[in-house]
Amino acid sequence: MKKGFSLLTSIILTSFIGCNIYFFVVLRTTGLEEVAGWIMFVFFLWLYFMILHTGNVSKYRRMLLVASAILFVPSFVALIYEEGRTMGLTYIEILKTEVPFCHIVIPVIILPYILFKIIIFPARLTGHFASLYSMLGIWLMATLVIGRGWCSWICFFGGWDDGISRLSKKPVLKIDSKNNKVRFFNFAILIFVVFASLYTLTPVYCTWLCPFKLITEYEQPVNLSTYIAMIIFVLTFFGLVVVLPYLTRKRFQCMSFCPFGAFQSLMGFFSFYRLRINTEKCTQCLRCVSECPTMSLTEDIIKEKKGKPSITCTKCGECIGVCLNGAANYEFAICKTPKEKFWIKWLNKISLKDGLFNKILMKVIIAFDEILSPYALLTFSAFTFGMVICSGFGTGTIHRLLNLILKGSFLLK
Amino acid sequence: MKSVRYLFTAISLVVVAFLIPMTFIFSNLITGGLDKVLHLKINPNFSGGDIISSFMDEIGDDYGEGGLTYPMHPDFKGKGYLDIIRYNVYKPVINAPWSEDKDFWQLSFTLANMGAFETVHNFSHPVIHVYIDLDGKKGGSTETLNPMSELVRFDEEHPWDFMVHIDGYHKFGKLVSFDKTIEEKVRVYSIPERKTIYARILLNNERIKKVLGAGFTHAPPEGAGFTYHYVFVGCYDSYSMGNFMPVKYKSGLRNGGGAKSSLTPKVYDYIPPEGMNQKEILSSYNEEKHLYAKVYPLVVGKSCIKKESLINIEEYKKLSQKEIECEQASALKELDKTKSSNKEKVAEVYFRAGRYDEAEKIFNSLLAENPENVPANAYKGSLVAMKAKSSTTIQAIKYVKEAYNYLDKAVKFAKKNDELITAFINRGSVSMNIPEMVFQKSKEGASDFLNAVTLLEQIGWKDQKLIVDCYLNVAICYENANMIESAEIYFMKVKSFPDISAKARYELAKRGYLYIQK
Repeated sequence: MKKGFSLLTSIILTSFIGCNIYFFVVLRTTGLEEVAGWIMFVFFLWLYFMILHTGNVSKYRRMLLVASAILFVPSFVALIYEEGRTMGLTYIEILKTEVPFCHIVIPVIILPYILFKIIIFPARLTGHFASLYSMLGIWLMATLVIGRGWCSWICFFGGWDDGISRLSKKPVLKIDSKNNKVRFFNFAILIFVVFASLYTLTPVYCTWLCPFKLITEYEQPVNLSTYIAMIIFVLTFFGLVVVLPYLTRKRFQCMSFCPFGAFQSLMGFFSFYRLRINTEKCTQCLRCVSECPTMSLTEDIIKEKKGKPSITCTKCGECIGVCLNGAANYEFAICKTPKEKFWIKWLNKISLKDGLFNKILMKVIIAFDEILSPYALLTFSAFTFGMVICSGFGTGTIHRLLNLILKGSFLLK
Repeated sequence: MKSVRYLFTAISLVVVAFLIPMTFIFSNLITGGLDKVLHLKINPNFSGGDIISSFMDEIGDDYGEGGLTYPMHPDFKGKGYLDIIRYNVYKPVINAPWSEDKDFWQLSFTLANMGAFETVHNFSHPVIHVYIDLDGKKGGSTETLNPMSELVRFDEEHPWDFMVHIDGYHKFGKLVSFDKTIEEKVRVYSIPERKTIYARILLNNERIKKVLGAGFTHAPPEGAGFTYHYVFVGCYDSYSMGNFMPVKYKSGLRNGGGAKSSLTPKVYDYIPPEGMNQKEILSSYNEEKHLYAKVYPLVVGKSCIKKESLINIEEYKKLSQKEIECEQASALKELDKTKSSNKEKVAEVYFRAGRYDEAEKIFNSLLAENPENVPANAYKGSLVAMKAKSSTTIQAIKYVKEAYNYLDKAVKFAKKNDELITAFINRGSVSMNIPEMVFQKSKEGASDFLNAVTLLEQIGWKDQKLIVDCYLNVAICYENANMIESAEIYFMKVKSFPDISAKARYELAKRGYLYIQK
């Protein structure tokens, strides 16, 4: 397992991220909302410190994602009802073109925009956290920084099957790594929904396939086609998000069904970070293969010493957590970690000397080295994204819970 | 060398990591930049199709021939319920996505005000009739569908072929042909916050599709392929002919008033074609010959005449700045006359004169004497919020938080109308001027200014300038909140006042509301 960072490094980085957390979660709040903000502040700070200090990125990252998933639903539903709407999207809401924009729609809007200069989703363009331009801006930035890491650090839908996939200690249904072609099924879904959406000029995935319609807005069931769609949503949610992840210990929905995941795998070429396997340290024990939740690491990849997972890797850090030799780690995309860094050479020279100053200097150099490592920078960046996305809903849900306890109402308006 | 490259990469990514929160904080700048590059447009079929023609009508002209008044029933206490300010005609949509109806032709009507008492569609006062001529002189009628409904007659050059009826009480409106051989449903939606009614003429009937389809082309050559629309708004009455409530000399519980003749059209608002006047048209009836007023249609489908502004916007900007300087100068003169014993008045004058430090000192001392002093809380809130402009992001947020503490207290403790007006105006001003993406207070700001206007009108405030400024600020707040239709209503409202400030003129000119036609 990866060794955690030194206490000094962990404190420095946690302090920096603490400023971000304070700004987004506490600063703009007052009253009961501020109390909720401080609760989320402590939670986020603790999570990040543990990622750094224990080296167990996957466990604490999963806590962030699962918290995001669980806290999103009550807050989103409450917001809908406070705006006087219901979960069933009425035709008036569509006419208004103010439907909250979801990132999963991004792949299907590109071709119609290029060909016809229109967006085939009735979203509001600006002026809302879930407006089209806001989501596009966040997506662009996140894609450049962490690529498909979106699925493991940001996507609050992914938190569902990530959390459920870890409920059982052993898989009931084993998917042999030789059957890992299932992880490419979502590419087929991507191609299908892109062209079907282009043909119909509607977001086909949202209309017919998205399992998360059960926890977000859905087209009101008023006729046969909308009732059929409702049945499909229920089946895909329980099948792909609950049952199969529980049985297989794999993120089945994200791995084999989500078209956005497939899209991000392709976009991941632009990301600043990669996951790498150090083939010299790797003993081919295959623990990473069995633990990888998206089957991005296979027996062939390890045995053939390819040194990197397939493009479907979501940078979740599960392999980093289980590798006993520290062979798996994050790397910069454009340059490998050199075998010898000149500041480590200084460190080695200084370690031979005595004295308080030299001891302090050693700690500073170690902290410098750790802060500039890909592990630190990726986790800092990815955690910032995940924290900002979760902060609004997280604080909102805690605020509403406190309001329910003290004032008897979950709704704020 | 490898170490240096590694170091350089790492430091670059440190910078990127620190930029991530900035993308959220400055997201409105980023979205503005993205908009300039991408020019995203939502598929218009979701909202009813592309707009072929859009007609603005004067705000406050819900007086028919001139002088018509609303019924005396308490439900008509407000204003603008029968005042149409915009009429949009859309391109027909075939195979609409995510819609109850796949094929339809949409019309929309924006009113100055919308109110409802337990009706199907959240509006209760107006009945709207649109008479459509599709084919010029070829066929149709020059009389209203129901005799004695609107009390108008139509231009012989454009006899109507179809009539659309919309009211708030029935789930569906109606489309009826002049000979009553075709009758089709019209689906009605309303969006109260936009004060807009949408009517979708269903194109399920093949005959209607064919007939209406003939009128849809809207490109030149000259004179070909246009449709002609007569748009009337009356007061809904379930018992009257065509549901148009009668109008008499004096208004009663079940009739409007102000009619000059028995031939006065029962129409409160009508959109005249360009260059014509509603009053003149609706009063063109002939009592001797017993002829109703002759009405003329709007031409739908003609490309809009480009009204390019010949106004020099920079001139208006300079005038607006000069106006502010004059106000500050006259406030300073007022200071000499104001008794120094009246600390509150002195502080307000300092505030208007732009001498904020002195104003703040006095307000602080007033708050020390009485923490519930309403004007002191209100102005103190504004003064604290002003400090945010020249401070760091985190400090600015703290200032705004502190400002709202004072402003909310001012509203809470206000007992008299004038105190409440001061509190609303100050809080609204702060809400209008802080970044919407960070605080999302613009909608509340609009609400505060509207409350201020209501109170000003209640107390019979004589200075129109303050009322106009409040309406202008309502419009700007809605614009900041991206509620463009609502903003438009209030910009039009400001424009309707006869005498507006240079600042108001500048804001209207900037947005293209003031123009001289080429």
